[in-house]
Amino acid sequence: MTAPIDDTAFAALVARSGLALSPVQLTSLREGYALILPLLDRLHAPLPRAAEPALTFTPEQA
Amino acid sequence: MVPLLTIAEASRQIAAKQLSPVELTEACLARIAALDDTLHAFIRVTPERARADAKAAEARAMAGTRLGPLDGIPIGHKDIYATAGIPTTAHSRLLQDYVPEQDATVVRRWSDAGTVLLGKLATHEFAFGGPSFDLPWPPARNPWNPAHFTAGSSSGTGAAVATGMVLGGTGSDTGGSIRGPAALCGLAGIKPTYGLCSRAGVQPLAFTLDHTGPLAWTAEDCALLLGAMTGHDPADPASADRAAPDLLGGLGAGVKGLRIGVVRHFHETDHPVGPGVAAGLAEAERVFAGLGAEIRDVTLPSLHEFQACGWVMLVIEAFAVHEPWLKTRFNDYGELFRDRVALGGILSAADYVQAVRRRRILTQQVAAAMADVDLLLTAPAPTEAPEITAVGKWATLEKPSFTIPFNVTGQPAMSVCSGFGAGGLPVSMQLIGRAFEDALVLRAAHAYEQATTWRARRPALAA
Repeated sequence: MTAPIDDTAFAALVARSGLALSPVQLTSLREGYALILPLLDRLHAPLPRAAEPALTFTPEQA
Repeated sequence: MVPLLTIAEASRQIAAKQLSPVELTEACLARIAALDDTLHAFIRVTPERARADAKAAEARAMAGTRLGPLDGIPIGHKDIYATAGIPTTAHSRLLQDYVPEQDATVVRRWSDAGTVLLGKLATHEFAFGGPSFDLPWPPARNPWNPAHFTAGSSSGTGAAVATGMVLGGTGSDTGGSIRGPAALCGLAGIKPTYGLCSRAGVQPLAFTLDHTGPLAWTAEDCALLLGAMTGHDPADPASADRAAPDLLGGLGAGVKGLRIGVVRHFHETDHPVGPGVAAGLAEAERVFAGLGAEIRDVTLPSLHEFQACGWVMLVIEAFAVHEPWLKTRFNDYGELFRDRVALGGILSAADYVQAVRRRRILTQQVAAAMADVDLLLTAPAPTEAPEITAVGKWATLEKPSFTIPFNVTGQPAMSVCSGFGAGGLPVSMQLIGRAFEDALVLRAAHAYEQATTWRARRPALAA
């Protein structure tokens, strides 16, 4: 399970995104982030190394 | 007063010169005048355009030169579809003065088919942020009980079709935005196969998950509307370069011999549904079996797997679309949209790539599970419509969605009314087909509707 990050680290993560949020907005976003962490755990479970993305580059259609 | 009609019924009457498109349009405008202050289905009504369209359709009908079955049929477009010369707001403060110069491809195709444009329909902000009470327009209300939610994001289309303000309308579906309102408003609504319908000229939410499609009262009406939406469009990079399917030819062929796989673990274990939805699904199994279909259980990856893949892709792609405005005009968005999409800005590139890698595997797993069945059956929504004030900002993250799996896989998926639950609110089932087998989904939905009586019941407001 991905460990929740502390307030300072979360504020830094948001700042890196370029969003300027109020303290209330930061708190709200943190609620959503807590709900998305279990989804990230599922996504980062090991896959076969050769598993290709569903969007594979095709030069003729780019 | 013209009674509530389906598109198929109205079209037959217009062809037989028993119904005037002008009278039909006036009846719809009268319903809008009577009901829309309560339901808020419309962002903008276009009566002058509607009357001009109807008059032209009537002239063609009288001259025997109808353009097809949609000629003279009143419709509306979700307000993320570009309409030349008519504001297209996405239900957002950011686009409230935006007037496109060109129609979206689908808008142009329906117009070329002779439809009568009654106006632009409410949506959740940019097809994601709703129900919101901090936008320039209020959210649409459920026509079966206006204290309740329509679902979204094609919320105005759901309310308008159920009450006969329009006979059909457009929706878009990135995580369930056609199938949700169809389910909670008691309609038919199909998310076609990814690539079947053009997205050109439609405000994007998440490019790889966005689908356009119709909502209407019946599956037959959806087939008529979808038939006029399909066909390759070079303006949409995801448009499938293949012949438009025949959606009507086999519509009445029934389900005898079809194998329907019930994804029981979706609605019994992964996200248990309420008693009304469960009863509707059980009855649907009995109806299909009685019509000669073979019912069997099918196991797919859990709803949680699809939820993780779909949600992460959705919010990251949406953030990419909206990043410039989110950084400069954050507070001009409604709270629900901005907070949900902001999540995409704090996730990582690795999160996105792992989601897209998993998407291929999930799609392959569903295809393998469908090797021995023709269709899948599950719920589109867990319960009847909740009260509109009870829908939380993070509700769609707290429990896995029944609809997003088929945005992830791109398969055709449809909501079909399967009865009514407590309080007289509709419940629905979801039918899913293999990619580009949209016609089979519509055929099964039509067979079910013909075998049941649910299509005879309309919201009391519309009586």
